[in-house]
Amino acid sequence: MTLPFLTEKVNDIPVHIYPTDKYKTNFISLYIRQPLADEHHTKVALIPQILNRGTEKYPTAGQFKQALEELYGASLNADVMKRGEEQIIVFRMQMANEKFLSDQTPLLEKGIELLSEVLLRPLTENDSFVERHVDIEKELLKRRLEQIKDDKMRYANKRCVEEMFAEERFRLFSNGSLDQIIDLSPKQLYQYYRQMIESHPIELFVAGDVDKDQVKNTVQQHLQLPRGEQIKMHGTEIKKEVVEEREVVERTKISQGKLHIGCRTATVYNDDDYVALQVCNGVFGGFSHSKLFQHVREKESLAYYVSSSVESHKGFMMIMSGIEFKNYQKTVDIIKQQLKETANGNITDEELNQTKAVLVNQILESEDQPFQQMERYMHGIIGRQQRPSEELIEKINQVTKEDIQKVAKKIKVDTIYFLTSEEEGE
Amino acid sequence: MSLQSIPFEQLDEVLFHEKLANGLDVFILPKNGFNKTYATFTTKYGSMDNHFAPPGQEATKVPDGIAHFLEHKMFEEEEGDVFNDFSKHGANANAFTSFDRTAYLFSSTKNVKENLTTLINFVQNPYFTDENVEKEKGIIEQEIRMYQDNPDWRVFFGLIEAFYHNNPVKIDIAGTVESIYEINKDMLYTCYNTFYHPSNMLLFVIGPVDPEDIMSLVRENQAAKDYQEQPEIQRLFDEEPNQVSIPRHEIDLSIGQSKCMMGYKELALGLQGPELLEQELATSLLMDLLFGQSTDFYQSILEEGLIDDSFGTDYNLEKEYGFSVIGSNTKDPDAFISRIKAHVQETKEKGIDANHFERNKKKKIGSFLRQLNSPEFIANQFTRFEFNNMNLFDVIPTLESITLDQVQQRLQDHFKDEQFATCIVR
Repeated sequence: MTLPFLTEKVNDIPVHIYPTDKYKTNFISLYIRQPLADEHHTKVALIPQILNRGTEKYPTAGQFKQALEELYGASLNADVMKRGEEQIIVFRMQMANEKFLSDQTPLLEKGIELLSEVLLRPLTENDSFVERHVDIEKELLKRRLEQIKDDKMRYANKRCVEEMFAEERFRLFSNGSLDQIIDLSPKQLYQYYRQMIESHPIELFVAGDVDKDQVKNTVQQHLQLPRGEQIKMHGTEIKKEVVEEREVVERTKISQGKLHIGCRTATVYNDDDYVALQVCNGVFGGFSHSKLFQHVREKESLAYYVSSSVESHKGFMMIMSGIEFKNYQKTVDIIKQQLKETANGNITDEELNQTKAVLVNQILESEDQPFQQMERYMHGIIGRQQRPSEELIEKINQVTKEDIQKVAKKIKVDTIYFLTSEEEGE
Repeated sequence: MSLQSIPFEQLDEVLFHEKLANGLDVFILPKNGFNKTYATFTTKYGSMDNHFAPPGQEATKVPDGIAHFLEHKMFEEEEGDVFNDFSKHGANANAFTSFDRTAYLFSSTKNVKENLTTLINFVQNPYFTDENVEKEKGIIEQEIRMYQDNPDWRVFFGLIEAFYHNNPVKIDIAGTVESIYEINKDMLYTCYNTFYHPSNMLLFVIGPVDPEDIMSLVRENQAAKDYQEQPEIQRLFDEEPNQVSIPRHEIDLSIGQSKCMMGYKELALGLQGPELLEQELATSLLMDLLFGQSTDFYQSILEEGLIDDSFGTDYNLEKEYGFSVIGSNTKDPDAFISRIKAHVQETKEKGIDANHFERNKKKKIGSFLRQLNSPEFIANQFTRFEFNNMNLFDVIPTLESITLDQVQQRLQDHFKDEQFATCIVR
């Protein structure tokens, strides 16, 4: 299968449709793209939650949830994420296919109608979001952000990114900043929302046992967003050099140390050696057969989890592990040593072949998941290059040890972040 | 015996089943059009089974966390790590231990037969040495410490400890740092030999497979292995008093926002088959009717700031134990608790609205269809259902048959003040 989506422009929005009878439900995603920016990122994090709080037709959150229940428990979730230096709102919706029900209400059409209701007719007063709704969502966002420090793994991740990208927009957290919440007024938020749906790139995806023309007609009829002139996405800044390796140690009450190491890879999604980077990450730390897992966990029993992962658009790799406080230096040394081994091309045929087989398997598995396929397609839009499965698999299979060596040589440790106990050391 | 086909017309699925001479139950669910095959090989043996009589021997008590330790050790073979065999064939392998079962699994899009053979063979071939048992202790210690720092895990286990005096469900699945150091290879063999007999196990394969093909592989594989018939396993449980163990359990973790979980200890136990399914579904419907996001109650405690979007409810029922769970991050645990109790009391007096009940049934049916898209869900849940003599594909008809009266009755029976316990982590 190449690219399953058939794309058509409807009401000035690209609509990507994937008709398939593999599932018992239908799937909708709507993405709104946004350049990651200090002045907007907290607004963007709040807006989808406010939209989910009520519409003209369903003025309270309770009534809105009841409407979803009526559609056989359709789900509608709003999420905010970061891809490179873009902040993206995504609404994901899933509803039963009525062919498995005794009741034959056309649920997909009803679902699109409900999504349109949320986007086009949010509850407003005096050209502004409703103050009470905004207050509730501000409070909830505030608490979400405060609670990150209670989840040590997430906290260490966020802190490592903030330290490493202190001078770049990428440091911004997709869920916003605590210090900005208080200043946002309902009117300001609403105006920004209007601006967003008029001028920001939007992509709509529909998958399931659906008829293409019928989807087009439904979207045409119900989802008429007030589109105007479009903003330009200004892309992601990619810093390739590491001036100086940094070490940041923070202390808290904790029983296991969290070691997070941020590296610059100098390779991004639309580079020719991007696929080699994926294979390199697999050999180095992505899987249970990888060097990190084998050396840190299996050989030395230092950790239960240790892995690396690549962010595709910023040229960023994160290594994560949970270790005993006193094993900090030993673990850092082993990790660095394994990165060096990879860059020196000390890679066995077995490591290479296992990694390729597992990566190919992941791609094929993602084809069973409509939301994941939509996500992959969005990566292609952001990275300005689609990478269809077949092509990707072919390229993976062509990657040589030399290719890995080349791409691994570009990977530089930037920031070593360690969250440790209050008592340990110094 | 031969392969039986069991059609589920409303869901458009056909399930295949065969029980082998050695007692192994094999289930196959073909999913054409999918890339991925997912297989689980599960033993009815979990963290609860710490007191038992191995066939022909005296009863024995084993250290906490041994079922989980055994799960870790199964992956090691004399020739090395079995993960390597899976990744060579592009498969993704894993395992998990719960209170009452241990499952080994893989997913792959190619080489299904090789991977299935690897799965069956490694689970049926224990290889424990003093050395490899020792080595695992450091890794599991880090796993335990990781959970120690996780407030969500701590509050959940704290609640179970609050409910139970003696029932081993209150034992942490991984055990403690102290208990795992007591484990040796002989104990592992004792547990293995008792619980990993094919007659105590179930193999489930779901994906684009030919049932006959898979079945003949499994038949041949098992026929080549020598298993003696094993009598039923004697599992010993101390008597559990009706009342809860610690009505209010507090744990200090120095986190920013408190977490509070509460619930009611179930007294209607010992059920299996359709009766268990009915009680489980009726009570979980009831939990939604009381606390679901569409209720005024949920929206008002959210707006008052007593809970946030981490709020959730659950109902767990097995033969030997059962309890409901209501939990959230909260600023004021005491106010949260008293609102929940008052709401239960009020609903007991007022009764449940019939429209709300019908709408919620629809919602449950739709959510279940959504879950049926997931091969992981089907395999894992089917196994749990089968171990309790229930059938996963009876969920929709059973849901449809549940009456308002049944739910009202559950409200009176389950939510009893004297069965209430809570755990607060702050």
